[in-house]
Amino acid sequence: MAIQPRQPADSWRHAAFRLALVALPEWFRDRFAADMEATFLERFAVARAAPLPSDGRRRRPRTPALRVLLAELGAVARLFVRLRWSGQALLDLPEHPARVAGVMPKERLLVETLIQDFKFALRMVRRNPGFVAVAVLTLALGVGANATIFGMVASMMAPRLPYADTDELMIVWSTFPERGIDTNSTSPADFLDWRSQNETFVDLAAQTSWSANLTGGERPLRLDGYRVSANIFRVLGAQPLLGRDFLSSDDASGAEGVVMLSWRLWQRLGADPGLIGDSLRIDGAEHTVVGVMPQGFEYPQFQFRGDFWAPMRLTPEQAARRGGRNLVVVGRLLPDTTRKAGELDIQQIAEQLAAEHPVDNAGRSARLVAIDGMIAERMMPAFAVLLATVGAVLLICCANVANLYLARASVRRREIAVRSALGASRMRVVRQLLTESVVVATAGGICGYALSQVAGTLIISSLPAFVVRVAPSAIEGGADSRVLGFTMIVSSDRRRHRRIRHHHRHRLRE
Amino acid sequence: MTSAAPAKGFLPLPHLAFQVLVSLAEADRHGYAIVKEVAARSGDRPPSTGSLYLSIARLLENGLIGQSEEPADGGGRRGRVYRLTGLGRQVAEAEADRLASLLGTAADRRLLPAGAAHGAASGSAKS
Repeated sequence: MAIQPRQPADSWRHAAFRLALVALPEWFRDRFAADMEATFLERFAVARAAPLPSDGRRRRPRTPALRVLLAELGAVARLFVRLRWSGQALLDLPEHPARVAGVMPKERLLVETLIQDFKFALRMVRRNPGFVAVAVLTLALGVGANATIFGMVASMMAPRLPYADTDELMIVWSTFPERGIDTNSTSPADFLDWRSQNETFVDLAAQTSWSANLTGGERPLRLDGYRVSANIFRVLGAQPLLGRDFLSSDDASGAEGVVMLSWRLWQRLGADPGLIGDSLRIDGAEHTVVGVMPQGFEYPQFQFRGDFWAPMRLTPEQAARRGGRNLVVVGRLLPDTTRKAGELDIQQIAEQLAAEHPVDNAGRSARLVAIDGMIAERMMPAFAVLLATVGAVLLICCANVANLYLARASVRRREIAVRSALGASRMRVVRQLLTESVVVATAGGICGYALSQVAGTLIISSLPAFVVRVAPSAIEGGADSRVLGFTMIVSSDRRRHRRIRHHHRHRLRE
Repeated sequence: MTSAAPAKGFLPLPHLAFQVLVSLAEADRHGYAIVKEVAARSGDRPPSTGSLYLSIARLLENGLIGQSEEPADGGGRRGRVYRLTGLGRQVAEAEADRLASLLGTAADRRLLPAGAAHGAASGSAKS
């Protein structure tokens, strides 16, 4: 067939029609699109040239043309649906009524049977509320227990941290392999050397806790805060909600005291934006408030919640100290740098420092832990046991439900025999029973998820405060998409379906 | 009448397919000419381009009509010209016959002025 020269569209209506044609199946388009376009253009031109309306209006009546355009687009849409549905079978003459009268052969049949099965399953639920309630409740318990534990484990194993590109963030621990110490903090001098000599990090930042008294208000407050290197928020990729970030000059020895408030403390102090620039007396020294961090920001994530952050302002003596190890270091790796490469880099520096300062650093090395893997590293065995336990609970629940179904199947023998006698294929009967069990399993999953939301809150309220701090995302609760996904997988539970199916195969043979 | 049997296999024809065959029985036409002719003759709303080309696709697929290799007007914008094939003519005749006998029955039951039905029936009787 000759290929038509492709001409640009005359008007937007022409372009719209051409665009609609693109939706048609290729085999149809190749043969007819060019001709359809030609026919459309003639029709449209005639509609546009329609005579002036008799009421004497000057404007050319656009409506007939618009009507033609809409009708044509609608017809292409109908053609699209019919062609997609029936494919080339649509071209058979005479029309096969089931195929062509707007009815699709296989897919449509599939959907209709599914709807039929689904409606029947709902009737079955209404007829046997007791049976269904027991099955759903049993499943809900099993699924609920799993979803609860999974939700907690997920929130601790892969916490959602309020930082940018968390996979680049590493905690740099000092280690002392000879004594089996693998998670130690670092001295200021070591931190400064790591920071200046490394080649694999964008930057390193450090923090140490600072419990302080806030005075000057009506009552003194006891605050839990942190002294930090001034670059800490930049390393974490976090921006203040109000005010400004720390400047490197804020960190200089002898600089004016400044402080960054947490959202919580800002709320406690009255949530006044005018607080920025005011002075707070912390441990007897004046600190100017430069900013407020957004709600939900925590650093460090795995200790007590910080009320405020203030630059460390190390004095020269403090900066030269290698003995007192009080800093926890976090670093952001350069893009495309692996944890291993970063670790080797820091270890080389540590080795050199050990050689240069044998008194304090002999035998000291370092290692990197991904910031979101800190909890996982310690808790993995406990989590595994917990998950295995609730997994066993789920298995027991499934076995119970399967037994319920077995008992029920013997009751339904007659019904199934009648269906088969009336011509239902084996597949058809199995599909109907599967649909029923899917309905029950879905209900069980939904109840289980609801149960897990309640249980989650109960468990958290009974946990020691430390654990709660560890997993703020578990406390804040709400619908966790991971838990939802897990619940869905658990309740789809193919083992049970397979068993039912297997059972019915046997039934039918009898 | 040897070919009457394969022609019967296509009946009943969809309404628009029959209209297209009737239109092409007079002369070879391109798509828009068919639209115009069908609308003018029957007084119906003209068929949409989408339904027209579905009909054309069906008729081509089954060999009831043929098409010119090149678009009409030397590559202009009118599209290909369609013509009735021998098989198409037979099918159209068979469909006309079928409709005529249906109309005859309708007239017998006073659903139609007798003359109209007779005209239709005698027209198809010639074949």
